[in-house]
Amino acid sequence: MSLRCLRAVLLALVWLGVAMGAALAQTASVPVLSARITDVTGTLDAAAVARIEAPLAALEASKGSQIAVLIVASTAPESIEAYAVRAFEQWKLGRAGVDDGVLLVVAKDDRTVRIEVGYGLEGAIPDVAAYRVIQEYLVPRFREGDFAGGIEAAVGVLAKLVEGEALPAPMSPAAATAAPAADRYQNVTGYDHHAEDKWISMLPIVLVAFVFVRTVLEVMVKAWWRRGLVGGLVLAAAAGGFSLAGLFPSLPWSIGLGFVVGFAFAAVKTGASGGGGGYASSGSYRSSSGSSSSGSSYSGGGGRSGGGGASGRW
Amino acid sequence: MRTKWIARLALLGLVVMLAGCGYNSMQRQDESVKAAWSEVLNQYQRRADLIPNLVATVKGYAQQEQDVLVKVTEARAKVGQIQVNAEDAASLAQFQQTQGELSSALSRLMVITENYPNLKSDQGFRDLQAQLEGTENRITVARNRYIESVAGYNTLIRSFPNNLTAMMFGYETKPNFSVQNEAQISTAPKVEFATPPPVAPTN
Repeated sequence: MSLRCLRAVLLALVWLGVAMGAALAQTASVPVLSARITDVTGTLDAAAVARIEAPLAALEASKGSQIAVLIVASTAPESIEAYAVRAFEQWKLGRAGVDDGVLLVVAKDDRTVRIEVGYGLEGAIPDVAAYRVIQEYLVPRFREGDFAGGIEAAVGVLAKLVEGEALPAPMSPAAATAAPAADRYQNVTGYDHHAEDKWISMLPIVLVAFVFVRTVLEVMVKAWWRRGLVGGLVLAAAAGGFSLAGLFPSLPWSIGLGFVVGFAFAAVKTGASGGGGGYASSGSYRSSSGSSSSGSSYSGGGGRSGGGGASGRW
Repeated sequence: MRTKWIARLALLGLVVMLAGCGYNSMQRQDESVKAAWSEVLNQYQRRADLIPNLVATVKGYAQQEQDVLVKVTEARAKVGQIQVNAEDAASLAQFQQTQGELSSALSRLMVITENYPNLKSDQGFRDLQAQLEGTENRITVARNRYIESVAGYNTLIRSFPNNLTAMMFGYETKPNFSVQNEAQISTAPKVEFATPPPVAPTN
């Protein structure tokens, strides 16, 4: 028992070391995205945040584009350009494939500001427009110390610029992030190339997941689990056979999927009430995460940027 | 009948082994390197396209700076002539050097514009300056992504089971952008950012 304890402590220490190493290697860290306005410095009061957020939420509801604001004390040792690109990569503002995100970064102590524009909005907000927004709306107000007023004005103009350009109609957030990426892989050859040599590296995860699921099921209903296992193996064998005959492209995935489907089918048939409960809860989780983008928590949709936009100082 | 089955099994084994030995990953990473390289070329081209306009605008206000203007134009012409092959280290180095010359000629041009207040307050010039800054930044981002992409590819084909596959198919590590030149190029936008606009002539 004590040996096990020791091992757990050692493992935790190793993980801590890895995490700390990663934190040191990164320069100024980018905060986690949880709202449209991320203010690390405490410059904006709640009323100002609400005023700035309102048009951004309206824009995302009508157009689907995401505009976010990040206020930090300093981006040192990086330049604000490099920091903004990194923040954009981490936050993934804008929809995947449409890339319609904009990030406004303010480094208060450095007295620098940057508008980073996603690929999809480089037409609606060219560098010159971003430059003028900075020079005409942000810099004069920032010089007077009016951060809330400057950001509110600039964000309003950016939202209007985005509305001026035709973009695809807004989709539901879940569909927006999932559908385009999946389509891109499906369209090329009909099946997922990534699967074929990823499965070896996924083996440990699958094993762990399998052990976990097995333990849980064993605790619940024994007969149910055995039935499920038999059903899974039968369907896995069938799928493997089909795959060898050339009907399905990828052997390991056919077997894996066959097993999962067979297991679920047989298990649910045996213990219908338990299975039903599980599905209902996962369903409600999904719907809550779907509606959350307009509510309290906030996340990027998978957009990318290539360094477009402009910077300024005051 | 029996030999047919053995052949089929051998084929299956070969497919699984190739997939396990990173052949597909190499193809994927190779494509991503190519895409990153296209973006690099694209952004350098964007900069080259800006230059005739920039030179014309500066000429209108600062005719006596012939020397600097001619240098920029010459460097721009040299960039236009070069044919680069990213797979070839020598060609890549030459490309870097020509683009580096254009960068330093441009930064000299931006420095002398400081002496012409009329030029600096010209709206057309300010727009061009913003575009140039944006393009320099895009170049930096595109280069960084290319460097990462090539590093990923090189690591992939040099790590253990994959290096056998790479050897079998004759894949070699790709040359990358060098560090000295990186410093030289990244100084170009720095010159502009280091000079804050004088007391806001904005409207």
